[in-house]
Amino acid sequence: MSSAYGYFPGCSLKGTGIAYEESLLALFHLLDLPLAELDDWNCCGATSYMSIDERSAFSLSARNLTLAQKAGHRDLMAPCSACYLALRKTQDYLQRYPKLAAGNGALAAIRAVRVRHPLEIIYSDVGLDRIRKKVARQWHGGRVACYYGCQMVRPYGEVDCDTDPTRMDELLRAAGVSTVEYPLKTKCCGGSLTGTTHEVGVRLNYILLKEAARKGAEAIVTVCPLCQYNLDAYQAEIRRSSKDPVDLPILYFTQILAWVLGAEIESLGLTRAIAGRKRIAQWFKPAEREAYV
Amino acid sequence: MYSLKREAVRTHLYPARLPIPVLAEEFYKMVRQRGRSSEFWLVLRMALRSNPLMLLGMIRTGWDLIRTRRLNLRRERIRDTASLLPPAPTEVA
Repeated sequence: MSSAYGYFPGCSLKGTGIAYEESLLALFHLLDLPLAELDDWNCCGATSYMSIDERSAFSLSARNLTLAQKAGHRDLMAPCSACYLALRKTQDYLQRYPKLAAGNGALAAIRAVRVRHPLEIIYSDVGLDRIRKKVARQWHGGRVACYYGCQMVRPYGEVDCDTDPTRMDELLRAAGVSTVEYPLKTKCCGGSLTGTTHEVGVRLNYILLKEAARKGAEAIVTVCPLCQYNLDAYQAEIRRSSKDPVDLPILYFTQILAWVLGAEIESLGLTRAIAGRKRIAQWFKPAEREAYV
Repeated sequence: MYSLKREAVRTHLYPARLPIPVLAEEFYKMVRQRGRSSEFWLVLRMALRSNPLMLLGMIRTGWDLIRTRRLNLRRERIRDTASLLPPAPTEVA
């Protein structure tokens, strides 16, 4: 049995969400949590694949779970909320309806491998006390709104409470970062709607951004590459259409945590942000890293 | 909900040029053939099939992704694509 966490990046973390992968790897390195990327992993299928062919959608995630089992991983980490949900849903359905797994030999893997999200791993396996002890830099940035999105917490509620998640807030506060109360923290960002029914998707994101700003947040922190992309990429369009001067950095929780714990700035993917770049440049200053502790 | 959506896609019971079922079909084809999805190619194919003019509205976002080095133009593929096939339907009672 491997002591490393199996790492299932998913397609987004190799594309638009690459800053998530960069900062996640930096953070896990700092926390001495070994990761091993699954060899030859495949796409989770997300929700689109399920819209065409349900059975083979389960086969996709079953293949990844089988790869994890063969590599000896007890835990398989999926940082993308859509990937996490696809893997977890496959486990749930194939255990409840074993006939769906007939022929692909996946049931053993489904029972042996635990699907986990990095937020829960850091909260449960590292813990708030260890985070507090490992803080190497004081946070000089502003207050942030923690946005959990919908897929990570619902329907399973294993990463955090499904209606009122708080673990990201707790972790960031333990690291010295101020968070604001954000009532929309589990509302949907629209997922792929920004690419299909664009106006609806952009409107959903405007509501999320506006509420965060109204609550006093100077940035939004997220756990999902699609949420990050939607909130980050359309702010210029929102400014033009709403005349609202919204320009909030949309950060991954791994970027802030890794920074506070002392990661090199180059390893955090901060230059990949589209919105709020001025604030990001002010908050993450490499020269300050020696000034603290 | 998924059953209804699948049935709507299968019977083409949706407004003409609606990109949502086109995205699902293109995503399915890409992942079925290659084992991975490539965001750029997926959006391009969806737009070309549903409404090519929507590409004009994506220029700004595309440029932002290029300048921040987030747009991966490679068409990703897994090695073992044969293992993507589900078991034959006859195996499920």
